Amino acid sequence: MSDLWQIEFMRNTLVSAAILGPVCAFLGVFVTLRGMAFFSDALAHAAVTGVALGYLLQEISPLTVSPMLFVFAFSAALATLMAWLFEKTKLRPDTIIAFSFTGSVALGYVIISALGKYRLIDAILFGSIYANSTRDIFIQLALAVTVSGVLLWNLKALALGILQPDLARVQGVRLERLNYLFALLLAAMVTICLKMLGALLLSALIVIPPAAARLAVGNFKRLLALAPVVGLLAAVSGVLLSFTLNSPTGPTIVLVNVSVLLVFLPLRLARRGAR
Amino acid sequence: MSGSPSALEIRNLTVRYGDGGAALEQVSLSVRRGEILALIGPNGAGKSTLFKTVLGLVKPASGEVVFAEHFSRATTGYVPQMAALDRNLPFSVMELLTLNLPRQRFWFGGGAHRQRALAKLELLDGAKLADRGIHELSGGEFQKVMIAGALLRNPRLLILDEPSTGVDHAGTHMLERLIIRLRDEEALTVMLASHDLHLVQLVADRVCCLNREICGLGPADEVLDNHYLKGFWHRKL
Repeated sequence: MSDLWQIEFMRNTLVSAAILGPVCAFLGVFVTLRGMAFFSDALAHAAVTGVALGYLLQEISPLTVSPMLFVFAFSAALATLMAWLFEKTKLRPDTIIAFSFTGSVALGYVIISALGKYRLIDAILFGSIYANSTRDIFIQLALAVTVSGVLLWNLKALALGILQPDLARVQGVRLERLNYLFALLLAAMVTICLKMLGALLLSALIVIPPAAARLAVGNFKRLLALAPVVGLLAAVSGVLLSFTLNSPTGPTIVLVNVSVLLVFLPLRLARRGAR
Repeated sequence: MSGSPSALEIRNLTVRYGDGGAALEQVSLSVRRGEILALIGPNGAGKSTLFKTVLGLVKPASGEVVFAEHFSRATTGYVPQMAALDRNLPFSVMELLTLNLPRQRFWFGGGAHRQRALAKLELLDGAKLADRGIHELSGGEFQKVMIAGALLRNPRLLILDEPSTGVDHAGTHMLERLIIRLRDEEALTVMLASHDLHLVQLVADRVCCLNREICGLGPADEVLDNHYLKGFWHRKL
């Protein structure tokens, strides 16, 4: 373990996993309780278009802007659009997510193929966690603190919005504004985590730890406490395991998360049987 | 009761859906202090819409809701229909209750908040429910918890939307006694909507028949015996 810590890219990877694992799980508690698991998946896949637009701009203008800024801008725009469509149309959320998801991936692929940058696809879909720099880690830390802070500051409003939306409105909570804020937080988180797991697997980091924790505990505060612990342990042990087994890191992290979920499953079944 | 001052005046209230159709048409109603007023009527009659307009959740196309002195939206407790709440969510009774406490930014439900919530549960003989998950409650227990939550806002007016839906016979009987107790011992004014005419007959001081517009208003026996109402339910009331 101490040997691994001496290797800079491993150190950065472990620190990155230790930062992003818990905060994704914390955010994921609200994502899963709000029924937005597929929403986060759609945003992750929209990153394909964000990256493609970034490279397109580099091709057609002398400006050098990080493609990640485009990923965030496109994810945020798509998140806002989907949140607006949820509010204003009678279409079911899964329908809105499905056409936003497929439409954005199609657009991204068309741009990437026009640019001839097919090799980008692999990096976007599966991530490259070992490419984390110290600067990346500071950005991840800043985002983790911001996301956690905003969630804690709005904890009561978010919980009320999930459990009793009418009561939330009676208490003066502006649910529509809160929904947009939440969608933006999710877009920011997706952008930063893209490097770690890639678009294909990213939502696992957000969805599986709270799902596993929910199998083990029966109330909201314990869920808020346990999910980040699961997220932390699964992300860090996934990195270590992938190094030991020489397996791809992103998929290994996901498989560790799924294993934790399967371990917690008997707890749930036992509790149900006891009632 | 007939000479009691009003708690709430609803004047010429018209509420329209997005497509322009009327949910409520020129509804005028005075709710008296300390009474239990029951709204009855078929599905889609506008009962929940009327409540949501009183609570400020729905904007009327015309008309107004005027609270009397000492009454306001801030002192109105609201228990929505049970179907509006997902009881499979991982919340404990105490968490659900403390979310009802007004004017607190941070919410962790411990210490003083827990004591306040526990006091309301004890008032309703429900202290033993405090640490259970909401998914573990029966329909009657759940309504009791929801009412305790509404009481945490120290209301003068309590609105109960379909309180006996999904509640078994024993639970409904408990609710009947509880609603009367809240009027008599806590001096609450109660508005409730229900399809359960037995409950309405037992607890209501007055009954308002609503079908987008008011189709009957008066003492329970008088309104429930109305031939027009019998037509709604196609049976002898």
